[in-house]
Amino acid sequence: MKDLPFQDRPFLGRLQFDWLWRSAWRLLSSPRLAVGLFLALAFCAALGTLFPQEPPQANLSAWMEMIHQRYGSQASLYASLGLFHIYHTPLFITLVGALVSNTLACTLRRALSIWRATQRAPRVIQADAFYHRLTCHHAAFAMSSLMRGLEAARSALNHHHYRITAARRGDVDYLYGERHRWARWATLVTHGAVILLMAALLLRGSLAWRELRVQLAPGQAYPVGHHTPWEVRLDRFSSRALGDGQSVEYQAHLTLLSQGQPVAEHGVRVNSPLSYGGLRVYLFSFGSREAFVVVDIVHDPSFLPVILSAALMVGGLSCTFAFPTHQLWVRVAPGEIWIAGRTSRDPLGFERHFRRLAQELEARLAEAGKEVGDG
Amino acid sequence: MVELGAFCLLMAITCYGLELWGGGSWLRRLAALSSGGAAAALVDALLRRALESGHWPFAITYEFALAFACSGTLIHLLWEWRGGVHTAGAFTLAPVLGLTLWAQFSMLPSAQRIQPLPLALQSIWFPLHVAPAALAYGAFALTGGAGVMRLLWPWLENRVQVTEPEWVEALIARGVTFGYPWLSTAMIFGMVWAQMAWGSYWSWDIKEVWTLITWLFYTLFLHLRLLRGWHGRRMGWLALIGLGLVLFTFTGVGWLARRVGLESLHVF
Repeated sequence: MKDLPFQDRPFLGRLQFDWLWRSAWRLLSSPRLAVGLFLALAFCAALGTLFPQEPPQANLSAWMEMIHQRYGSQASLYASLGLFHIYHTPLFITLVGALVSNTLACTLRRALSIWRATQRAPRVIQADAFYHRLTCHHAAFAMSSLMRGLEAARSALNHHHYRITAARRGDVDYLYGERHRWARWATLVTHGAVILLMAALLLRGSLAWRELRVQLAPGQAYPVGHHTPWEVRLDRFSSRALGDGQSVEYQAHLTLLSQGQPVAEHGVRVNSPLSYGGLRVYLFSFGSREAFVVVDIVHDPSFLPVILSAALMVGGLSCTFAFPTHQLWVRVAPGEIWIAGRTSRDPLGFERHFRRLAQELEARLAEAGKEVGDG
Repeated sequence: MVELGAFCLLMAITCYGLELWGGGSWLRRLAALSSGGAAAALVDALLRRALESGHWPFAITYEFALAFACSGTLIHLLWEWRGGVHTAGAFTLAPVLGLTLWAQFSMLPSAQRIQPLPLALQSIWFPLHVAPAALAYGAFALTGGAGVMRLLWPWLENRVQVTEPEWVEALIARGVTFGYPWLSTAMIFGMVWAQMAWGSYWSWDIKEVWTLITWLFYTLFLHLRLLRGWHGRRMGWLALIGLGLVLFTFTGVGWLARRVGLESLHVF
């Protein structure tokens, strides 16, 4: 007996660890946490629109002077609270990190539950009360044989692409139909895409670089740097009036050089940058009397992954919302067919679909009855 | 044509309202017909502007307001066709009518005049970005109207013949699930366009941030639906707040940028 506490210790320790792990997991994968984080992020984002945010690569001293002029003695306090660079504060970054962790945990939990649901055999035989409990239910009288009634129900479900499972108890046949089952996985695609998107944004922080507001006079070349062999040269600058009589289009003819040799050239305009090997050069502005142009040189490898993951997210969302899982239960007894159904989303749309399906079933039953009569 | 569109919308709202107050089912048919008339008039107004200007009719606030109202009316018609709208048209079309009246009668003629398309907007990404935004906003406008109906439900059920409030909540959910993917699409196309035009797909511009806030809000809405206790009147409030955010992002951001002294690539 004296040894018991020592023997229990690892067990208690394991219990505590289990409890801690479960609590942490529950919290991390909780939709309530997600809701709290959305609110906190929206609040911080809104706060950032109430204060001017520090522009990238700006003339900091001039910018701070403007801030001091505007906010006076409170400028230092606001600056120390991070209100002038709110989207880069530790608080904002922590919130984004927490949201990514929460999304990851929710996705894992959801994946497990969907996997288990897909592995479980559907419950085909339901109690009679179940049919009346569902909002969408319908009873049809089948004057024809049981077999013809079953066939009519099967063909109606098949016509609407339901995957059918059948069962029989006594002299009653049961059918279970499900469609858009695969769409359950779409929600995981959406959440997975959000995680990919965040990872791609991390790429932006670590691999992207920008040379902003570079002045170039005609004939002048600017070494891009950042361990690249490239130089950007302005060949000429031109302008032309557009057909509407009011707009003027400006075009900077730029050449990208690698070790003195031209590798790409382009007439850079608004919406049409020079693009080569992951580098893009944009026309930002130009000097008076076309003496020089101002260009932005950008290398951002995160763009494509961000856009692809965002597109994946929208694809997942569209599938989730446009293809809700529909479930139908059919009970075929001598002389009577009951049908009941439910949906994961859009009950109004399902109600209409269900009404149409019930009408179709009635029509097929009537046809079967007629055939029996004719026979 | 915009005036005709506004008249048809008013007519549709009146017919839905009278049906709600116990009118015959012919009122419902007349309401749907009026909605169709409103949609045709607004589409015609937008097409005329497009033909006259030679560019997509979303370039100025007035044009976007018309596109916003037009998409709201078209989505309402789609819902009428798919079923489940019942008498909610009296409420869901009200924000659409409000928007049409605001654009047509409170904006100065100079703000309604066709302008040459700025160079920055001369891109294929311009319609690809703005059209999904108009669709999303149209759906959220209908949702906001349904939210008001849900909030007034206790008052309504004592006065008119209505069934359960659940179908109004289903209508709100339908609006959000329709608008949310379109809003996301608009944001993605906007990001691609920003990358093409300015070399940065996200620059924490005030308009971008408020669009993100609207998107975060509707993401929050979709998650709250999964939680217990967030149905009923609360859903009505959420739909209404969402509409408030949409309208602020559309019309209030310019005002805020001027007030705070922020520069924005989207305010011109």
